[in-house]
Amino acid sequence: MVANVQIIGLRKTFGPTVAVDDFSLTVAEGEFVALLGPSGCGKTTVMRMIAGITDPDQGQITLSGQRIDALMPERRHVGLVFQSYALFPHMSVARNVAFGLKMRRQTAGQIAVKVAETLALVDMSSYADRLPRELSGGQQQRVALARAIAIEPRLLLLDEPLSNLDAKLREQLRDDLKALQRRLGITTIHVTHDQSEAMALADRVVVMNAGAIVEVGTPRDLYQTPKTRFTAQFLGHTNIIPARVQFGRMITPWGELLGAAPLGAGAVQLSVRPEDLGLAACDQGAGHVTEVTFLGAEVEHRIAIAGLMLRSRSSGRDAPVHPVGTKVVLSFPADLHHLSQEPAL
Amino acid sequence: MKGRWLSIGLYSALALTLLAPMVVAALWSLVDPKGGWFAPDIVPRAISLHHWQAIGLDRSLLNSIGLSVVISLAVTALSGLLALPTAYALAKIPFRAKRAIEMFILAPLIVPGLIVGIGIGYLFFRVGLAYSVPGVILAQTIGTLPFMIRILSATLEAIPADLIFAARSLGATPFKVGLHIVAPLAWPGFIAGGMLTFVSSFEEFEKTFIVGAPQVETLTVKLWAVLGGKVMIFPNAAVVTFIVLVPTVLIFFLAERAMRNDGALAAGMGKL
Ligand SMILES: Nc1ncnc2c1ncn2[C@@H]1O[C@H](COP(=O)(O)OP(=O)(O)O)[C@@H](O)[C@H]1O
Ligand SMILES: [Mg+2]
Repeated sequence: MVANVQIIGLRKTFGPTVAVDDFSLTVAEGEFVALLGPSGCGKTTVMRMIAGITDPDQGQITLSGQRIDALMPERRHVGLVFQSYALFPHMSVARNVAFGLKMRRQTAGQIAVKVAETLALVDMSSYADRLPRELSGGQQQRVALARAIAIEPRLLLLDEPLSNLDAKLREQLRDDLKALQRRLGITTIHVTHDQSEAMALADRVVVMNAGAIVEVGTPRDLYQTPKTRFTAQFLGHTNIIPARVQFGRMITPWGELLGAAPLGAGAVQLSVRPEDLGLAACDQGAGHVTEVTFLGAEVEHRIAIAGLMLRSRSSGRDAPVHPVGTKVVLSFPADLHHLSQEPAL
Repeated sequence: MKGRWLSIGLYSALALTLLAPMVVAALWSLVDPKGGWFAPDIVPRAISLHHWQAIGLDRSLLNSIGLSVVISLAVTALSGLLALPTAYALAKIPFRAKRAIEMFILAPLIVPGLIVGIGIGYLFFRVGLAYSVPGVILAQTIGTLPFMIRILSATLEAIPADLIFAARSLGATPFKVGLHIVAPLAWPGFIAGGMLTFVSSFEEFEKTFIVGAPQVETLTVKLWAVLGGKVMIFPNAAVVTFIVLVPTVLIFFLAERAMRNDGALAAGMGKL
């Protein structure tokens, strides 16, 4: 029932705009993959091509070995949740959820059972007779999800399903969505421009930029060992430090990093997360604090050093606070990371 | 709140454009022929149903009413049938020449009916459609079609494309999408367009007269006959005027009710 997905060389242009180019991706059965990228990078276009709403210019889409890219959307058996929810405004919640089952010619009895079951799954049983306009955004979102999963799709596509909700609700629905997906085991592709949402939900994240895939990996790998500057900066904040490797020593703009394991060769770009960058007051320090920001859970220091502007974050009640102007030395993690796919500066 | 102001607006328009002429027409239709109605008097000296009775006895008037209703129904149905595919194309298919085509379709709206009528009249005479009911139906449809296309395409444009895609991905064929999604969401526009078409057909004169008269005698043609004979029979004309105005008043009333009660239908009416 649940399918694996194989996409090869997908391309779509709108006039002069190349919306998606050379997009290839494999998704395992039951896997949860997030497409992450800035607005306008082609995420929706990919989803629409998989669902059959937009025809690709080139490429293949295969579900469990069956080519679907030439099938009409109604033949693909793919569940789709739109950013706008796209609930049918003239139908009650129950009729919205029943729609796909009715199109599949199930009996009234079967439909009633399935609708009740699905509404219970998304915790909307008591709203079955409401019209969509009588629901809040979060409730509409749940109904849209119920409508898509009621048909037991081979693949579930979610296009920014949480982006119209406020922050608190978004977090809660995110957790519910994850639990539901694990429970049903539906292969899912989830589109978002929110990196924390992508990392919280997905088994694997596909980072996109300007119509193309930049990097694919688990949330942990992409966050800790990104290969590109784009990924490093799109997933949270990072400090990019140009450096040189000479005779097994790491040379930064302000001097040698003592004790650093040699990595790469010649010019490299180091990527150090603000929470990994340590800070200590020292009169001989090469850097000085230019700004201190209290963020609640964390304190952020900005440090000017050898013409670079770096950030350091520390958390907890006892996190030290250094006033602006304090001379500081920086400490780096033992396993330094550099952006291996980034051309040297 | 919004509903109330709409109602007030509609009723004011109704009073100005319909009620005033209707009161005058009503008074004229009730003038007692023995008393008459002359200059300084604000109301006639004596009231009688004489003219209503006279007209009621006139078989040809009943025939005209029947003919007008049949023609207007046919024009409404034909306009709907012809407008739907055009409106659909205008609303959904993005082609470059769209604006030009829109202009072309809507052109008859700004050309006076008489000019269109003369053109059509000549053409229909040549092809043998003159003086026939089908000829009149066709001539009127040419006039009402632009309205119908405007209203229907505005209605269809208002349906979000995502609804249609959602239905398709849930397993609905294009036909099922039309049946279960587009039709239920578009019917207020269809009703609004239908009512407007019916009224404008019922009241149409120029094209009907040029193409159909004297053989095809609709109510408006009849009204002309009553008004334009050797002597002008004002009270008789008033009675016919009254009957011509009935559907308009009815539809004004329905539209007002719709705005007050049904959001969907009000939206449809908004497209008038
Ligand atoms: N129907 C369309 N016509 C023209 N350009 C389009 C259309 N759909 C998308 N685009 C363009 O393709 C690019 C990718 O759009 P989209 O897939 O919606 O991005 P995302 O979902 O990542 O924000 C954008 O530059 C957008 O303007
Ligand atoms: Mg999008």
